[in-house]
Amino acid sequence: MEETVKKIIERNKIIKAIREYFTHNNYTEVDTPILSPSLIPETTIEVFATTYVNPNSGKESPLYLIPSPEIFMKKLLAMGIGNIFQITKSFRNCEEVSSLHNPEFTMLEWYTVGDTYIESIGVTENLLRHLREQLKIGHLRYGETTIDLDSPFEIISVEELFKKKLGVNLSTLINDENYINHILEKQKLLYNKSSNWQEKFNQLFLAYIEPTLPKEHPVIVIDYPSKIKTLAKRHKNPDFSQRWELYIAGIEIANCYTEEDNPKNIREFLEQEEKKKEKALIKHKTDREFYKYFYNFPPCSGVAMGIERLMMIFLNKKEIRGVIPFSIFDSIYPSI
Amino acid sequence: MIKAGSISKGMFLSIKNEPYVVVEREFVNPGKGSAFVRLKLKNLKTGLVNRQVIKSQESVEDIEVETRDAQYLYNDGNDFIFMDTETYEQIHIPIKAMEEKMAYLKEGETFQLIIWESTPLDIKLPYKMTFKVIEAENATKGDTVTGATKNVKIETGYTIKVPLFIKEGDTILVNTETGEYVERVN
Repeated sequence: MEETVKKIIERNKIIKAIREYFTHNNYTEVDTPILSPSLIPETTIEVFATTYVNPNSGKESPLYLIPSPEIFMKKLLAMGIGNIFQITKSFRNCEEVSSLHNPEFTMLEWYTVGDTYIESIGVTENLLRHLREQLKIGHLRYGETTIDLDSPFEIISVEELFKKKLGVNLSTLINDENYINHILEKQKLLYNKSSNWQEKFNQLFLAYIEPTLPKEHPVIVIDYPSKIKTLAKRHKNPDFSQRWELYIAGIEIANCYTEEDNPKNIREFLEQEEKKKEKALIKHKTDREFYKYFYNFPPCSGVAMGIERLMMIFLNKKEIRGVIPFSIFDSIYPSI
Repeated sequence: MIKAGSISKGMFLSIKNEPYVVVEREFVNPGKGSAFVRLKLKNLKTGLVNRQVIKSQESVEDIEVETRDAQYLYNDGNDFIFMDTETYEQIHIPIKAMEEKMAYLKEGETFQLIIWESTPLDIKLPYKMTFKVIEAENATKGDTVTGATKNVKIETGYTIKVPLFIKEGDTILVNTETGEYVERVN
């Protein structure tokens, strides 16, 4: 019981500090729905579905729990709200019971108008330093490692990582389907020839890149291949996207884009992803009108950060359950 | 066949017709992508450890194994030699297949042998085992700092860290998963 109360108090300190940071920097805090009749389709995410029942007609309308507040926050940006942030619950279904996932988790998402993903790095660095100060942590220790938050985060491109760790030219890997199969075979990784490029890339990344990322300081892994479809704007070299991921102590903490703002590209993304979603375990309605907001969308950069994972780092917890009171898995899988 | 996502530590798998035991299993997710398992696998024929990353939805062959009780006799430098307690036949397991278990093999002790298609692959150790301390330096007077430890040798020749009060001749309980001292038994 005491553990649960302690968790609440610690979570509160961190959320309060995050709120202070953004408010002090003149971001408007927003508060948007958790239930939505339609979503932005994402092939690699499964959602929770529920139903609204009309008490008189008995008509049932499907509703879905948001996997992230992106859909609403971008609509607000198109309405001219300016810099915004939100700390809200998000939901993801069909994820393995692990030390890093909980079906219900807390997402911090913020958007800075006029910035690109490069400027977002500085905002993130300052956020983390502010948190450390507010929590009165002198030296941030996670397990056996002391994490340096004072030096600028190390920025390393996916291309550099593939060259360093695998001796592989990423552009060749992107453009030659046989080459990626050849590398998988050379590394003796088990794969299915029918897997798509994204899956093969992720397999190599998870086997050889992610486990070797430095743990003594945060790392920004930058410029992912655009073959992994996201709402990030492409670079001048269209093989790459303006996207980074933040790793602290080897844990993926945040994802950032220079946001795609071309309505044609958004529409294409929605159509392609909706089609792929036909194979989803839990189908949902796509917000097909979403692209229309982009006729008025400001250039901006957005960051999505898993707050529980951030809490794990600051509170030195090995398991996400260590920072979630009443975790669902405590009742479904109590022994894990 | 099972889904890679159902693999757990200690399971036996057949990959390209070679038997492996799963030493470590981690669920990993790329930032944008489907779930994978990251495995540390030990080839039970060669003793070599390698890493695998497989999509959780991919099928993998799990091996049906049987267990047999066998008494550990000795090792001849190449193999560990066991005796099946029912048939009395001698069973050889290459040392390199389970080198890390050498520290726990007490002569005369009965263990569970894991067999696949008549080939002995591995042994299942009890989670905790007792061992006699055969060599222990005495702690010097004044060593009263809590948590201070010293090294002792147990009957298999293995060295382990124990609290200062443990003496030669004591029997201790050891956690075979971590190799750590648990408590004094006698």
